[in-house]
Amino acid sequence: MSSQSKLARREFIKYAVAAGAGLAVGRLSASYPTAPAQTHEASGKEETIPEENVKVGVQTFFSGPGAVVGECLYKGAVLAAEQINQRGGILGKRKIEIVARDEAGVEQTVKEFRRLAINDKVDYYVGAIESVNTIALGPEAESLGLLTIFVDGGTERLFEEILAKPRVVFRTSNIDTVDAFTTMNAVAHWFSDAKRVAQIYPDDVYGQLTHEVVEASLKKLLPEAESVYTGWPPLFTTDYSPHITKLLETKPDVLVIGLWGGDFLTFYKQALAYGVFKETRLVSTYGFSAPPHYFGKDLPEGSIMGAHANYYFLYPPWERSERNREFNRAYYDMWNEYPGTHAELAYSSMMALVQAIERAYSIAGSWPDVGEVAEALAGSMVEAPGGYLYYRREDHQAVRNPPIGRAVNKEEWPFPVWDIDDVLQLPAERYIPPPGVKMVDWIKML
Amino acid sequence: MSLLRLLLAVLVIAMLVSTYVEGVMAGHENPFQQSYYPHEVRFFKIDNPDEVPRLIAETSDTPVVKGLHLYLAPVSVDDVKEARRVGPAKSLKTLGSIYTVLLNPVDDGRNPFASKKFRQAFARFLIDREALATGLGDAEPLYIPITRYHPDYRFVIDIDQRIRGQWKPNEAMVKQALADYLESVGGSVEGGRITIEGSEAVLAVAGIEGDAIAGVIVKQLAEKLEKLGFKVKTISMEASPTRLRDLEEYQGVNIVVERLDLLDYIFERLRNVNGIYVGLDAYDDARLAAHIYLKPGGADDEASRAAQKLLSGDYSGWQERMNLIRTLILGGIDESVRTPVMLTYQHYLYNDDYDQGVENMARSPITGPFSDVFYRTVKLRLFPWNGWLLVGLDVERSSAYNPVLGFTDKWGRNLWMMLSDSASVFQPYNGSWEVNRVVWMEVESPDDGVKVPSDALTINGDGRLVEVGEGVKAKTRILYRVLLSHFHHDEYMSVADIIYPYIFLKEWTRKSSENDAAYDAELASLMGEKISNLVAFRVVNITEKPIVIPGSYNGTGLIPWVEVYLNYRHGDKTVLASYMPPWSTVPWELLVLMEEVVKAGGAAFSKSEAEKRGVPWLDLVRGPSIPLLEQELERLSKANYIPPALAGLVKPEEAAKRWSALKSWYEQHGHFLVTNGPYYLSSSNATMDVITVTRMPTYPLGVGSYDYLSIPRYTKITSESSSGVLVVKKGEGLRLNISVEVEEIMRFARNFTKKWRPSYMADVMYFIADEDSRVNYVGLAERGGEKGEFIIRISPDITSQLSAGNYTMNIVTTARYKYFSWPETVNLMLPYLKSVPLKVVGGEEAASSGAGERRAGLEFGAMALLASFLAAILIVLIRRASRARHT
Repeated sequence: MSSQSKLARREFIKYAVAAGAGLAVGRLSASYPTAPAQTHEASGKEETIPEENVKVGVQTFFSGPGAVVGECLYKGAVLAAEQINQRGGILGKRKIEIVARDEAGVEQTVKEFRRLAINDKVDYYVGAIESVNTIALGPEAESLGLLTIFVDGGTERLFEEILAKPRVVFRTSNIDTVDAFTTMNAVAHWFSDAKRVAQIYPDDVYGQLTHEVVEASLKKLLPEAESVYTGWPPLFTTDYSPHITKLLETKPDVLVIGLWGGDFLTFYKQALAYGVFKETRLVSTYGFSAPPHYFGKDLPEGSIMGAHANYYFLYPPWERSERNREFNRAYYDMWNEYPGTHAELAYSSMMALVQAIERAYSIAGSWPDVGEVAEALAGSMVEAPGGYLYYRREDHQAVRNPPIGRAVNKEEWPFPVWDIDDVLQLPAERYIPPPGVKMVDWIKML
Repeated sequence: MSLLRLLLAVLVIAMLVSTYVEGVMAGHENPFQQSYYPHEVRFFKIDNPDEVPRLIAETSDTPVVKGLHLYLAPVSVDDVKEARRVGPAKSLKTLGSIYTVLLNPVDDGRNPFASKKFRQAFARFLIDREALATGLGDAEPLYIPITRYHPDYRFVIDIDQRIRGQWKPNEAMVKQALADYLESVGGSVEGGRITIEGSEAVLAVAGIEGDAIAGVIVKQLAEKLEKLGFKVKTISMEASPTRLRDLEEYQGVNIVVERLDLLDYIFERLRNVNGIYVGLDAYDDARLAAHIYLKPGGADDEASRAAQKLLSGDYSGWQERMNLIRTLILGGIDESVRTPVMLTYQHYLYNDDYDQGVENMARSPITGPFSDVFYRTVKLRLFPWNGWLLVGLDVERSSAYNPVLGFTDKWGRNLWMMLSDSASVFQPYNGSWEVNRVVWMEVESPDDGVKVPSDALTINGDGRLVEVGEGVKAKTRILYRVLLSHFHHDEYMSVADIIYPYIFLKEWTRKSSENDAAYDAELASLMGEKISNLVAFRVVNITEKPIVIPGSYNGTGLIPWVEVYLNYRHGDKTVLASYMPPWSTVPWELLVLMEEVVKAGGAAFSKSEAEKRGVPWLDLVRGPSIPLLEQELERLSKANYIPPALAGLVKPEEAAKRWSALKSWYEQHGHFLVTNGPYYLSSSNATMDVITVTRMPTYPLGVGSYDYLSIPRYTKITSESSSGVLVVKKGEGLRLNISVEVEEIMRFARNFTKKWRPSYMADVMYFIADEDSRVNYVGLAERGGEKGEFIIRISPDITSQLSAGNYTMNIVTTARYKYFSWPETVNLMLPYLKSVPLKVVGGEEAASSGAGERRAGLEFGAMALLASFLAAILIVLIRRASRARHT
């Protein structure tokens, strides 16, 4: 195929897919590919689908702190591959082979990424959690021409500064700053009587950014509340007693925490020992994004526990979401545990990828190249276990309605879970800034 | 050597050192947590072991931290059952003791064990090891002095399995051997009783005082001997758990049941001197086998010569080591007066609660929880990182807290593994040494030695650094990368810190006069030979490595590249590289401070020297050393003291900073124990030591660094392409396809499971042994086309060298590990053996070989070349992976 005809074909796919996506949005019926789509509407002729497996590089944290969320990313991707393979593979013919690689420091992550592209010759890439890694990998992916779906690494910078016009790079996770805004909307919803708000953040970019959004949100949503204390424990703090003492002095009625993983646990256990939560309600921006088994039942009930503004395993409730129930059942059957946010994000990324390949094929009539898949993915919508995901055409950023809930202990679960009868889900179009707009500016516009 | 050249050499180092750039904080969440999992660890004594199950059950981290995660004292199987009844306890199973039976060969004309034939018959056909082990529950029969958990077991697995099949109780064999002996000494059996020279034959069988297991063994032996017609007298002797006694110590005893407690045996030898392990062969199974089988001091026989070569590292490559080990074991089986009979296990309780338990513990079956990697992997279940780890011990602390020759008791050893960071640490599954803070990049020991560059530094008689000059040769050259970090007192490490220990050791292991205050005999015995084998060293370069926690910390770490020249060789490169690395786990000024206090007669580094001189054992945390250290620190600080050997290498302003930092540390923490390890001592009282994590951005390792060792994986052969006996004609090639499965770890929730999967993550070694268990050929199988498929190719050259006859093709598989993209560390425990009969025939015989026998296919290839190639790839991969982990 000449480059000109290829371009024309890509243009065709672009408009055909856009039309398809519009239709799908209209009737809310876009869903994961569950049966191979082998009709060639565009060309009307049979073309051979290659026999060999489709290799998908999956990169995530397999050890160290990142493994808390990293391992479930891999597990979600493997589950998706398994399900696609069980129905014969992509287009019923090409099975998916996962090639897993570690995500680590930036240097090592980029090396492993290149190894995936060059040595392992993967066809597509799904992975990455850390923002600093996606910032480094994004330009790398564009230059290698490797269709890349970042599962997370949700910094605003990626699509605003680094890759303002991405060609083959996509991201499934909501933008990081949505965490904080969603959380503060939850505070305004459940703790609307809050008058004295304290905040504890890690002294790093995530902390500073979250603080910025929380402060902007407070002004907007709880104008009468005052910020009574903001603590910035330095990186690697393990003794939070100076901050806890301040909290006891300032007596906040709400405490917003930006710590995560082991730091979050250490903090809340120390705070618990000092009796902080007798008077103060706990709010975490990120807490429940880790798989549910990472939490103990001493977590104060009623705490607002964010799930990275993306997905929590019990939501949408299983009794009204067959897709989520099925996803959890299949995931548990395969992995003996329940999924964290990144499992669903990876699973949905894989499904979105397959859907795009099949859609591009169905339009073009032959196995699509990277550009054609990217065209099909941009602007597409996927019915993910956690609800609809839409990959914005403008910046390739996926958006979804961010959910948030409160912790409760239930006898049937060995860990605290969201009180599923009382989950707040916010409409994406209002709570997620449009392309090119920063969250703090967006909040001001609301 | 001119003074100018010396100054130049020192200046070059000094310039290289001064490039450390102070980090600046910026901000971003960190995907890498420096140091290891728990953020706090509490060591405390448990007075009443009966309380352990209750403590485990009561463990909690809120509102107060209490309970127990790990109990560092062995408990019985019944104790484990009781603990499990009370609460969520589980146990780590480790090797306990080896029981051996010594048959005293002294020839007094009445001792049947003077007869080798009777000794062998007794050891093989009278002792019923299976029955003994079955009766004792948590024990297993042992036939050779290398267990299946030892790395060299893969080399002798076929011998062990063969004799396990052959050594069954056989009264007739024993009686025949006895009859032969009696005939030779004019003895007889009358009325079921044995008489020699007219009097009843009496045998003395010794057990171990207070050891029930030894009692059971004695009972079995006594009954069997009485049944043969001997009168048996049983006695008890005191155990010597760290070593087996010499034969000469057993006067008047015919049979002695002995016990060797493996942990005590190892830790009697293994010491850690300022972050360098000494007694590297403590884990060496060849040393264990030699200790059990051979006379101390050795004898002039094949087994002793093999042992000597093994222990001195006088071999090259694993093939030669294999031959030596087999020679030692076969010689021991044939000649030794001592035979292993039983292996027992120990159990250490840990908390397995869903919330409050611990997990992810890399532990060797040989040392259990007593290893550096254990503390670098143990994780609180509920915490992805952080958490309070509670460790109970059954003993009081009994050694001084000093980094040179302290921390020698159980309490101290465990504490020191977390407070210090060693150059290399014990690899729990293959008996070798693993890179920790000093990365070996190149190790070379050519037969004709290596030339030492003239500008390499050595330590002269005055303890000064001088250039070595022209014409100096060494046996070995090692190039290291040293992973520096901050010390606990917030001073960044320098080249002076890693060089000064050499100067220190040179000084303190050399006795210049009878009353030399700067001499410690114990240190000399541990390190004297090592430091005298240090020919020279050279700081080749210092590279910078950005340390970036994105948005939060932008700093630069320094990595000195140091060449070390040794007059020492060893067949195991990990031992060689761990022999005398450029490393210190304490800052130079602390070493100097300790030296000055000891020189002034205020204390001694070692317990033995302290007792000899009647002074306290130097302790940096408590006791009479503290005021002396405080006074001396004041003096040195005021003088801004720089030891002469470091003059020029350490600038006065740097020294001032160091002394000031040490003073501040002492003022803040009340002790002097400053290291560069992952934890610092945050409080210490009569009943408890509390250590706290130091998550410094410059610390080069972190949470997860050793996780690939947490769960050992094993292999098995699921099929091989022969179906019966392999038959090959001399001069023809042979090919065998092997299918291998390796366990895959599936982590889930707060647990894990394993699944067998076809995999290449295995080493497949094969060797052809003749009917006398002699190895005729050894090699490594190559990877086949399918996952898990390996191919053994024996070239015509090889078969043409084999005599016609019956052989066994032994195929042994062991697991490899994956770290990032590279397969590396090998788990040599519990190897899998598949033995295939192999018949080599001449031309005529081949034509008439039986229908049930399968002809091996023709294959041509240079097998030896292939094996070498694979070995080279393996070495490169291991090296690359080590580098990757430590960059």
